[in-house]
Amino acid sequence: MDSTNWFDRRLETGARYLARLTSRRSFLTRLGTLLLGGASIPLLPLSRAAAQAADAGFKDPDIEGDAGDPMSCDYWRYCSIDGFMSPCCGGSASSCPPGTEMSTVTWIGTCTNPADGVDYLISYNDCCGKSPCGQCFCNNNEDDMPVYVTGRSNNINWCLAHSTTAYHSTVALVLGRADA
Amino acid sequence: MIFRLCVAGLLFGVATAPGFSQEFDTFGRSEVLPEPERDWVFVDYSLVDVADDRFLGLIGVAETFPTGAIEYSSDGASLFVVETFYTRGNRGERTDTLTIFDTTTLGVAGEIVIPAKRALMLAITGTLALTDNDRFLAVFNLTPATSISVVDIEAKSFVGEISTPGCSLVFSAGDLSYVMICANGDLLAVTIDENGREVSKERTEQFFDPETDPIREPGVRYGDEWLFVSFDGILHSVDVSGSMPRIGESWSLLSASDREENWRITGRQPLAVHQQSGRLYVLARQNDEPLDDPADWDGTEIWSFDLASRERVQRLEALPESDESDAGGAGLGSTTGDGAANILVTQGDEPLLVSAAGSGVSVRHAMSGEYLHERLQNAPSSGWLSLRVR
Repeated sequence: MDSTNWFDRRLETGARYLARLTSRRSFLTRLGTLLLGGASIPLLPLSRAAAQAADAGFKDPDIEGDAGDPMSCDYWRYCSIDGFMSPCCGGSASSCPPGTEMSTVTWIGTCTNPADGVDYLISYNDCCGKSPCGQCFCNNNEDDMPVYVTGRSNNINWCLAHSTTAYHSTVALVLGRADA
Repeated sequence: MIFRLCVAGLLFGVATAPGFSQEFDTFGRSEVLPEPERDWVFVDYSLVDVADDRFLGLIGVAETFPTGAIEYSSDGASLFVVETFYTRGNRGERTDTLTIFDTTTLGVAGEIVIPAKRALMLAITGTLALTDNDRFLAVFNLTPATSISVVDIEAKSFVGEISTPGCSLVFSAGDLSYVMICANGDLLAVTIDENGREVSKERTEQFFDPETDPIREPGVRYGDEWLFVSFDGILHSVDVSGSMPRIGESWSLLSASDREENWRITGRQPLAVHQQSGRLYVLARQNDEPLDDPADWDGTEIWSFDLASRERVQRLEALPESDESDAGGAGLGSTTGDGAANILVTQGDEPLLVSAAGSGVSVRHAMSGEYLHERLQNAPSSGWLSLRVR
């Protein structure tokens, strides 16, 4: 993929993308609701991802209407991604490319699935162990926080807990409904 | 062969002026840098004389992404970086080192092995901090547990690790203390003793509210204060001259009309201060919506403020008119490419304002805004800016 052309397209779509973004403040209101309504989820993004690794093999819940192109930066799950999209690198939106390992710690975002209008918690796990994939860079950042709010920051190399911290690409796992 | 040399010598003799004598070079000589000047700036790991547009040299830091922070001794004689190595390139046993470089030879002058926990992330400011007395250097760790590793620079030895739960990034706060930013908006004051061992950890009152308007990571030092800008353009300050950090009054860099016009403070390195005049330089751009990660968006203008009066005193275009390139990138750490991502001001009587865009580094007189070099010819086209002489 030609990165310049891709970037031009990204800028074009960026305007539309930004236009449909809700403001940070409204996200924070939503998060506040989450904190009140489902206390365990936002407080435990790291352990929740790790628990999934052990129990469910990182499988996505079966969500009806998961439409869209996982190789497009506009794909709904990528609303807060910052990295190379795994499907362009030999993996899928929920699996890492061959020869890489999925990080067990990560950051968590909330994205709206346009198919059903529901907000879902998305876990952006990095795929680790090789040099950067270099394909399909996507930098959407919705609700991204500075690095001192570690569990909600996508500017951290989340391969940090692995034997090798080489960052390769990123998956976007649907963990569940944000209002669950 | 001897015949050929003789012929060459005859020809040489004919072609040159009488009396010319070619001097022969000696093998193995490397340059040593003279006393540093105030306008020597590191662009990532490349040292550049930005006044004379001259590339001076490179420090050979192990390649990692992103670029790591550089700390400097106050006399400018040493600089410090953290490096990560694997025994098999990008795999195998990991070793992290605090590496000391000699700033005249740009060679390695020392190496201290530290716990293999240093934080790897896009934030650069706050990943290492040298105490004001140049003695103890703290490295921020993220595993994702948060802590700092303390290194004794004088003894060239690792002292120990101090856990800092809930608090990240580290900034110098005097001779024997650091300040860190906590996820709930508090600051953490970490005090060490004369041997670098932990004495106390104490949280301040809330410095900012991360849920309504978080601060950006790249703080700048102004005398005894650290200055940070929030996503919404509020300048926060904290005075670190006392035993505990003292939080200052916050104020907005954006006027009511700026806000109506949707100006934002942006850029990867958005703030710079000229200490002597008390001028603060910031990167700004217009955008209809608030930005979720202002670091990814270049500033299209550079504004300067008088910190005492809080008045804006300058408003400059971030890019020279001659810049027609599209420098936007599509990779890790790339920015929009339509302005400057990094700014820096040299210190002293005649400060220079240095700005880095993807298309090149520009240099102008900081007080007048007049260009000295619209684009440096002998420097990297972009990068994190830091000063060898504070």
